[in-house]
This record gives sequence, C-alpha cells and structure tokens, in this order.
Amino acid sequence: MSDLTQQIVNLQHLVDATSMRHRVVAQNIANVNTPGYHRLDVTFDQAFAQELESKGILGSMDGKIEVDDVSVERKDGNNVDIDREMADLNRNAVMHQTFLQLIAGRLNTMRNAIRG
Amino acid sequence: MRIGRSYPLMKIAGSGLSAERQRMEVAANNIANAHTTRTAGGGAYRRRDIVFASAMDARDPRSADGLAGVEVVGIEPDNSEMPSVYNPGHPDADENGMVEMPNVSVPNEMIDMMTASRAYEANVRVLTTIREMVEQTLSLLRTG
Repeated sequence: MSDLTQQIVNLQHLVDATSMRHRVVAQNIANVNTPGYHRLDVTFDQAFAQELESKGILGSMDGKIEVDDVSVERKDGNNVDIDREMADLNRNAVMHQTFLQLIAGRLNTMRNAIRG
Repeated sequence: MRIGRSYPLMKIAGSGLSAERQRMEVAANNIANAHTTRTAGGGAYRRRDIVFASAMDARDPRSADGLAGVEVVGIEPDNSEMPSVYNPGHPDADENGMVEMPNVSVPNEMIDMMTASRAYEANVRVLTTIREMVEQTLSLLRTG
C-alpha cells in the first residue's frame, strides 16, 4: 500500500489517461461523416499495470494512438460506429468520475488529518 | 481532467458541430433550389456536395495533441447529369420544349439532413460530457 500522496499521483495519471481517450473518441465522433476516415484507438502499455502491481507506483501514462483498420468499413470507407463511440464516451466519463471520486476521498482524508 | 486540456477537446467537438451545421446548410440550400432553372452561371442549379477531411495537426499527427477534429475542405458542385423535362410553356424551355432541371433529389437531401442532425447530436453529447468532467474536476477544490 503506497502512501496517500503516491495514491493521488497514481490517480492523477489515470485521470490524464481518460482525458486522452476522451480526445480520441471526440475525434472519431467529429469525423463520423468523413469519407475514408479510419477510427483511432488509444492503447496503454501493459508495463504500467505490472509496475503498479509490483511497486505501487504508476508512471505517467503515455498512451499510443493507433489507427483501427480492422473494424468493418461503411460504403464510404469510414469505419466509425457511432453507437460504439457513444458507449466509449460514456464509459470513459464514468471512469473519469470514479477516479475523481477516489481523489476527492483521499483529499478529504488529508483535510481531516490537518484539521485534527 | 486538467482544465487546460479540455479546451482542445472542446475544439474537436466544436469542429464536428460546425462541419455538421454546414452540411445541413448545404442540404437546405439544395432543397431550396430543387426547382431553380436559372443561375448566375447559366443553366439550372447544380446540387452542391460538402467535402469533409479529418484534421490532423501536421506537427504531431500520432499523439493526442495532434488531433484537430474534422475540417470542411470545400463545397463542390455535383457533376452528375441534369435531368430534362418536357415543358414547352416554361420560359427556360429550349426549341424542343425541354427544360433543364436541377440534379437535386429531395429524398437524398433529406437523408443527408438527418445524418447531419444525428451527428450534430453526437457532438453535442461529447461537449456535455466534457463539461460534466470539468465540473467534477473543479468540485475537488470545494472544501468538504
């Protein structure tokens, strides 16, 4: 169990990761009608999870953006599925909220400790 | 999310809103001119098509900072064949009584209008979500 500050920093990196994913989803939704556009996907390295597991420290999340050439294209060469993107958007927002709640909890703990 | 990071995000959703609105404008213009037989360039109205391109920042196209939403590249005329109808009484009829009509198909325009409206909705949803996320971040500052 890492200390409180480390936990907050870890959560902060997770929040950054959700904000990056949000941007990619927004880009996909903005291009839902762009012919030939291939959706982008963001992937995070497994190394982060392993490090978190072993040391309790989460490094800065540096996601990789990849073009999805696997999903089925529509007739205009675009492979954005709007339902999938909306689901991703909502899931991402919920994750963001969860991380923020966790940060808020730790901040509260600190505040209580200071107040005594 | 970092508050400063939400601005480029809003710009992406905003570019989507603006592009879809322009698409609706083009469709509306096509529908409004579905029976226009006279234009400044001569001949009947040619329907316009809007061309979208995904906007990527040239500096760093493969990072999240390089994402810049969608871009309207141009509004181009549709060069498909213009239909002619036989209407000898029409002031624009040729010597055979044929009138050149615009190549606008109203059902197609309506479908364009609907897809644009749905896509607009999706982009609005992105914006609302970003706003909620920023609000949650700000609420961390509120003392309990």
